[in-house]
Amino acid sequence: MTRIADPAAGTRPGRGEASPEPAALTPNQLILHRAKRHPGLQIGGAVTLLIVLAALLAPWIAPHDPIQQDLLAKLRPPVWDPKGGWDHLFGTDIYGRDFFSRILYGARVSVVIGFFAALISAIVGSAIGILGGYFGGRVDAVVMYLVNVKLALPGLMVALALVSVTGGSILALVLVLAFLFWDRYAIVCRAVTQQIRVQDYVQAAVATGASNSRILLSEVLPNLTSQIIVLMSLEMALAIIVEASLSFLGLGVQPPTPSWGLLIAEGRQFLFFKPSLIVIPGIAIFLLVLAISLLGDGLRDVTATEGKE
Amino acid sequence: MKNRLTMLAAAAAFALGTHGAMAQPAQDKLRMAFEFPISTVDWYQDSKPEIEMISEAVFDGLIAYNEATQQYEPLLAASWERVDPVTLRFKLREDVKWHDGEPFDAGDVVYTIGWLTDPDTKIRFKANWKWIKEARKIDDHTVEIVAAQPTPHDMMRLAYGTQILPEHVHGKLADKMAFRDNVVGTGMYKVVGIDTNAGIELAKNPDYRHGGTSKPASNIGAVRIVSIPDAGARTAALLADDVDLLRNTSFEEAVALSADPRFDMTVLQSVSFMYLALDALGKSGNEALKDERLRRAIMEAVDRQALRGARTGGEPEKRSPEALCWDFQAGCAYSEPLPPFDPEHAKQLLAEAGYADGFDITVHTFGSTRDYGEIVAGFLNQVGIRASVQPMTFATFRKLQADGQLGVFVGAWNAGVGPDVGPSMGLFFSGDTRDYYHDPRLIELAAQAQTETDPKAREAIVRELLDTAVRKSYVIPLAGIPIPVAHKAEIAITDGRNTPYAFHLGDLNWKK
Amino acid sequence: MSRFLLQRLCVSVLVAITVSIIGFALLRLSGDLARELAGDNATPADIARTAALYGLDKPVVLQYFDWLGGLLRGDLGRSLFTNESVAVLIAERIWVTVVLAVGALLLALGIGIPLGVVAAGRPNSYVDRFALTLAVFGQAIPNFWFGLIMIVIFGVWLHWLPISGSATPLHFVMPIVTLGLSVMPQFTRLTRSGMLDALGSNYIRAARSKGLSRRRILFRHALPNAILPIVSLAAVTFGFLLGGSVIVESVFALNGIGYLAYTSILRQDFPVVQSVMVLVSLAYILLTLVADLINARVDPRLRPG
Repeated sequence: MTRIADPAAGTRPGRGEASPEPAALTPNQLILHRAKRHPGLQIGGAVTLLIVLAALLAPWIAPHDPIQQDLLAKLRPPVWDPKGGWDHLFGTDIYGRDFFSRILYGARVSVVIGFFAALISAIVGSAIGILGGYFGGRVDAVVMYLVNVKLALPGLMVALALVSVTGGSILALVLVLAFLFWDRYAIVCRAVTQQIRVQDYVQAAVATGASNSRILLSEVLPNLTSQIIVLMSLEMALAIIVEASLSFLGLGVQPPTPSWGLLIAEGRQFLFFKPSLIVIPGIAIFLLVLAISLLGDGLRDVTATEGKE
Repeated sequence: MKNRLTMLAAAAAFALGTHGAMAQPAQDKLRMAFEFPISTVDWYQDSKPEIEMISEAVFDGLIAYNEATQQYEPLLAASWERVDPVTLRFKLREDVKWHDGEPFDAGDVVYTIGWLTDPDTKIRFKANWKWIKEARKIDDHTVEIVAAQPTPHDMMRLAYGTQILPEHVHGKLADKMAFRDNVVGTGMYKVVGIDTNAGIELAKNPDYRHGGTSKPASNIGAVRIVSIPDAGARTAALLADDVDLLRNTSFEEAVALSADPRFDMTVLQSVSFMYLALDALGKSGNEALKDERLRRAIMEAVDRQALRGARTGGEPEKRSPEALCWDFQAGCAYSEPLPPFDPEHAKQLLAEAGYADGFDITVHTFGSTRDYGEIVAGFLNQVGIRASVQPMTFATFRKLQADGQLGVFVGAWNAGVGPDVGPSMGLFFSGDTRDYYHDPRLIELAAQAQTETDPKAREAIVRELLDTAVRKSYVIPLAGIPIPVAHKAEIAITDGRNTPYAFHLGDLNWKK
Repeated sequence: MSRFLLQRLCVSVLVAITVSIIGFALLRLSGDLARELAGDNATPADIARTAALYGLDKPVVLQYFDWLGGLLRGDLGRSLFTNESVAVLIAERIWVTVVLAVGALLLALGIGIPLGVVAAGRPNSYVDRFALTLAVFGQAIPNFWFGLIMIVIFGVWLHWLPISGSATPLHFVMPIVTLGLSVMPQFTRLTRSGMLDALGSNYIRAARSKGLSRRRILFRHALPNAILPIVSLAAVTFGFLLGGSVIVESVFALNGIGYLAYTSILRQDFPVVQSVMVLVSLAYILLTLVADLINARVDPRLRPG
């Protein structure tokens, strides 16, 4: 079977030289203790929170309707331009729509698509992985076959083809992206479940006649949650980038819905004359993905147990 | 408006001023960039407007249409006559040579028509030639083309898109795709090289003398065409002096570019036009659209005047369609004026139909009409119709269209390209899955318009057809499609072609 | 060993067949292509004729086996729109994508591995922080955006590099940097974590106690122990790059198979799409197979019972 290395592994500080940790802490206190000393986690968490808040509150804080056109106010410059004004903080686009409002609503698109794609792929992928890891044998063979098929497919091309057939609705995109990202969960959950299955407490539960579903839910799953959450944040960052890429190619979110990738695609025409239309959404994507990645890396570091990568 | 454009232009001059050396025409060679990769110059193999533009310069048809005089003119044929209602006899020119030096004659014409009408030939749009029964060689320089039945747009089909192929090259190929490795035509440019990655290289054909006034040769010695899919990268290529001409650009960008002394802009007009079609059958499940008053309200809510300036910085277009055909097209006739822009009356109609609170609707659009679709939705929202836009990919468009899902559709149509109304009638009132009105009378009229050869009778048919479509608010034209072109200041572009691409290669010249 | 090989081969073949079915079915989910091919003024009869001419009227299962048979004979069929041979279409373009993928992979390995080694050598130092920051940045920058910005700076302002096309090796510099940067971070991370594991092992402690130089320990003793997963990742990444360079190809006007697939998807030219997809998948399956065999040879523990 193809062994898949986890490319996101290993940002944890070297365990040999890490700052000494107080010995007598409960796991939760330990996580808190580590989190307080992890600037990456804090910065990532803060920026993510800020963007998620902006996305949630967009209808209340956006100064304008993001799709309302004003053909007489096309291509206004942003506020830092001498000709700009506070009315349109980031200026306006080719249809005279307020660019700041479009960026705010764009955050919604990115966050919603990224989150639900990560969530659905987490549920599906983890379930598949746990089943394979727990039952082994034929079930596991089927799971590995599915994972191998998924890995062998050129993901971006499949996504492009699927979106071209289904159209770029938000729901379709979430499902397509979920399809792209379930395999990592399956691989990780399968490996960890295989380890857990042979542990004494699981064997004891089997001996007392507990049902499989009960063991899976009360013994196996709790041991996986922290890893699934870490994976989710990293995969969400990836999903956001891929959504932006699909939208950039015209096969993602469809206008006038503002997606950051789409905004960059629309701004290409003005690469030289209105660079703000392309620089701002680019920075927005960068910041969000950076923040979520930092958050994910940080979560991995603070929840990691000794001796397990 | 003007102010802001000047400002944009000033900003541009600043942005570009970093290296403002004036570029010279690079060794008498014009360099252009297409959006899509091109691997052929043969329109029969790939029927994109871009390919049509090159194909037209490499090959010739029997006749040409002069847009200025609105007359058919000789090209490979020196003269012609109508022998009977189904037979056209062409006297061919005797001085034309193929690019490889072989003489052109009747055999080439008979071969080409035979190949186009062969049931086993795989090319797109074969329906364009289904009116032809056969081509007959009378002597070495005389051919007859026989139609299956009287066909009013026969001359148009022969002048547009029916290029003559060399029998001695094309005819010998078992795999017609191999033609691109040895392209031989009669046109003003010869193909020097076609390479998927390096692009297409053309050189002037010194023997080209048969173009007359409708197809004069350019003074540009060589042409190189590459593909650059990304809009930003295309502009960058113009600025970095990799290409000399930018067709797929926005009006605003063209204005900004022309502030640089190296560049100029020309606004041309495509033969295509934008139209608004409504689902009068209620196929899409929107019962509201079955009500004629509501359809009228939608049409009166749209400010076509504003649409027409959307791609020209507010300036009126060179020409706007007043019906689903252009006035220069044979058979084009109409009396019913298009619905006026009257948002108040539109609201009143909505109220009368019981939709005072408006209703929800999706405006479907795809490809190049996306911006117009968005603007139309903007107008509908202003009279209380809650319109959202759904731009589609080509694939989803065809699927939704066939499934009867399109409620309000904003699309572009190339007007059938040639100077005849026939193709447009066949498109809009086909009676099949594309037809969202399915009006039996209109379908009958559209069929008659394809075969009626008496010009007066044909105009009467088309008039009834188009007037009914407007009166019942099925489908109306919205605007023409202006094509802003940014180019090196040394290039002059002659305006006035009736093609989707808006110009031919021969319309580009170095300024003298 | 032979049993492992046989088992591994069977899985690969099974996966390849599944992938071919998916690739074949994807675009057929939609649309009536015969109508599109027949033209704007085609009657239902014309459309039926066109469907028959292109073999679109046959049952889908039959169409699949026709295609599969052709595939095995090396005949990939023809583009529905231009009638060009799909094999020729791909052959003319594949080298562009391969050059791009190899270049990006070499760049990613060339920077990613040393960076990971150095970072692991001094955990939590500035070097380590820098390496990790670079890794996170590289993942967060959308590559289509980065490509455009590079075009503006290096192509238009500085005039250092050509912007589009594949005419000279210089044309590949910006695309390779763009693509390489996006896959580099995972190598840095994997190298670093593998190195940390290796450095913590008894074997390295022993080497240290013998007083070997730090550099020698890092590169001669620890790295070889950390390299196996990197080989696997390189194989996976190469497969990914073959199918994932669509955006870079589109921004830098490179006619590779990624862009070919994209334009073909846009017009539902499924003979082209299905063949490109299956070829990329096969390349991936083959690469991972080879990587697995290398791993199994070097480290027998990895062979399943």
